[in-house]
Amino acid sequence: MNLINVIKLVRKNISRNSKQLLVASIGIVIGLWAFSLFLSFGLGITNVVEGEIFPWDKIEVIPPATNLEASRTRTPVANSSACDENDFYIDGKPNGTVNHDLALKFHKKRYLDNEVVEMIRRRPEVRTAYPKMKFTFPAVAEGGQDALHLANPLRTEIFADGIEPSTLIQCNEKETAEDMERPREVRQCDVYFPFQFKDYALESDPDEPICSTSDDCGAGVYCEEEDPAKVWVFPLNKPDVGNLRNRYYKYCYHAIPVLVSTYLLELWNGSVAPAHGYPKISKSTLGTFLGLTFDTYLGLSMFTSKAQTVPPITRKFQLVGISRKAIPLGVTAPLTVAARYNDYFATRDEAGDVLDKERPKAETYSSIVVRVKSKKQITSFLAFVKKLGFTQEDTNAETVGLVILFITGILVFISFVIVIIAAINIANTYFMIISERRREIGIMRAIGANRGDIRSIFLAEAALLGFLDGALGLALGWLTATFVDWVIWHVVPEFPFKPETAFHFPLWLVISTVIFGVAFCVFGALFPAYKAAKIEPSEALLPQ
Amino acid sequence: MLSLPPHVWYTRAMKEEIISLTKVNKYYGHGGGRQQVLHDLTLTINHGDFISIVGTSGSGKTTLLNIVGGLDRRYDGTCVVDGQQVEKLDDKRLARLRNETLGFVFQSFNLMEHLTCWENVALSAFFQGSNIPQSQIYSRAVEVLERFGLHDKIHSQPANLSGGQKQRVAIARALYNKPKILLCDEPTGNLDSKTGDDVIELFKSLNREDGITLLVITHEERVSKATDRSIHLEDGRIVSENAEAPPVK
Repeated sequence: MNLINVIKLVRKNISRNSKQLLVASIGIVIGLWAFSLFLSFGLGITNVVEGEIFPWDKIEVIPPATNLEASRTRTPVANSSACDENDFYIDGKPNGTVNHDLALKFHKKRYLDNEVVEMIRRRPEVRTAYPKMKFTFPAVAEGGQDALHLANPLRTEIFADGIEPSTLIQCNEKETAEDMERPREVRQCDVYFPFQFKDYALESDPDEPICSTSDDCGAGVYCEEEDPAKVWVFPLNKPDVGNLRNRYYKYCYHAIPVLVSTYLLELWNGSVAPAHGYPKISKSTLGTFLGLTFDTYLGLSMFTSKAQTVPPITRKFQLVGISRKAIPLGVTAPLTVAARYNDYFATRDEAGDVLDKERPKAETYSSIVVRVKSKKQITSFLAFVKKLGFTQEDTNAETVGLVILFITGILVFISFVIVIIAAINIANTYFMIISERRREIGIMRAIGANRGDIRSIFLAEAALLGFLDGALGLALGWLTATFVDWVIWHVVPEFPFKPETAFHFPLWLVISTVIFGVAFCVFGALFPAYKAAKIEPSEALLPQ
Repeated sequence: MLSLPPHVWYTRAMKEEIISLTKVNKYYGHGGGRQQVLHDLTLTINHGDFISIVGTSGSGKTTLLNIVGGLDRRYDGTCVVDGQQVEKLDDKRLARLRNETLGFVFQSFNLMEHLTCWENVALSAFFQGSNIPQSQIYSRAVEVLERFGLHDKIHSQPANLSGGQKQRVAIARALYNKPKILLCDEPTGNLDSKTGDDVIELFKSLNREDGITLLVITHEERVSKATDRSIHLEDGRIVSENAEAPPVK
């Protein structure tokens, strides 16, 4: 029996029993609607979480939580003639072949520096790696009065870190309206035109003019007290700590460019702005906020009155971009800025040298942000990180991912239960249909149909029904998803990381929904079809 | 006899066996309720025979037809149809025998109500192993229907036909694959006498002109009289046989 003839008979059979089959299909359609909707929702949310909140490929390598001093007292492992930079000791125990020199070095240091960054960058799993250095002193920011139309300036404690400007994409041209319409995750700019993200202090002329007000300095440059931290670094001769308060002169300084994270922007738009009546920062109003400057008191805190060993410094910070590479809650400045002020605020001995135990704070990185090439390589990279004696920052991504997976799993399971119950209903319907068509089965057997032909007719009928049910369930799922997205956008108030779509329908989901429809209907019809094929033609032809 | 087509008079003259039943016993039921329907039934039918089987209800007529037609294989004894021992054939080969060698005509027509006339007629082609072009299937169905004067009913549903037309469609379906044997179970049972006579005439012509072997179960005397040989079954046994020489035109 060829396929065309099977389809011909099946089409006529389905249209003949359309009402019965429609009723039997409702369960399958509902089950597949739930399956496609729940799974696409799980995938959509995972995309938001892994794409924007906790990027899956982002690993932040941090020093171990143990005391730095204590770690230095450990004994390095024995040397080995075989050298493999990937093999190190773990917790002082030999682990295969050991590169003695490297093991010794990392064993003694246990903190992140350029050598570690380079070593990570050479790993085959790593796409990019860039270091971050946190500000190891408190800071308070004040400003935003004009931009936010406030009576008084906004004053807040800030957390900050520094990253290499070269790791950012600095757009030299103004973004077009078309660029702004593109989703954030595919937009390229971290720093927006005409601003630049760099440490202006590195290129400033030491003999720059002394000023009395910012008007003497020109656009984007402000007249401020001499930056003691800058003096600390340039010239190399360190002045006496006691002379640091001696600020008689003002110089023209560029505002320090800083970035905020997309996370902070979402938090602002979703929670802070609605709660305090501040304006939201949207694509169209982003330009108003870029270039916003605020006074920052480095070394001061709103929380603690603990005095720094050196006087605080007042500097202007300027918002130059929004980047996913920025610290989630705080601002990100160029790396050398963080290094300079960490060095300035580090505890010093009488000679003005940074104390040994403070040295890591001032000279090493707080973390190294690594982007791996693929999900599969995460495990091997983390093993390498562990061998180095470092660990990864717990972003809770794994926990959130597991929660999403668990909830999606339960919902998909429920939809499967619906489909299985529906398949039983399909089986019941087919038993009734076969009972009705008993005589027809006899006729078909009499004129030449074998058992396989009878089976094929019923299974093909179920498969076609399943295909239609799957397509219908999928279409309903997609329509529901579109409606829910519309509700999220038009009815639900703003919330952080409000997604452009909460659903994701990849091709495999579309195909698998239809395949499940076919599979479950065929599964339901399987036993009745076998039973139909077993009917003896002479019995089937008996008058009922 | 010489006026018959060569293949018809040749087969009749040679008296080749086409159906042969040897000591066939058939039981229904199990245990104490077991009932024997056919008793050591032995019967030989030759090519081109036009035979009627008569008998009262429950005499085993339909059971005999089902065994010959390969619709029932649960019996003792031997049944050979067109050289093939029915009880030894597997499901596929038996289906092919029914498809290619046998044609069935039933009392209640047994047409598929959801299919058109031509689709009913062509149904046996659907179960043929080879891939026959759809156009060829359709043209053969139309050819058979036209032969029985149903050219205007090709696309009609069976529900729109009279009893006689339905039986002609059923006969057309049985003849679609040009079978050697036509097995008919009370073919005139649901027809009025005029239409019944037409069907009997149709059978006669099929037997004489096409050389088809006909085995007709009937309780009507006019049908049994029209046949060459009439076998009388009583309680699963052949009680009498009335053989007549085939009329020569």
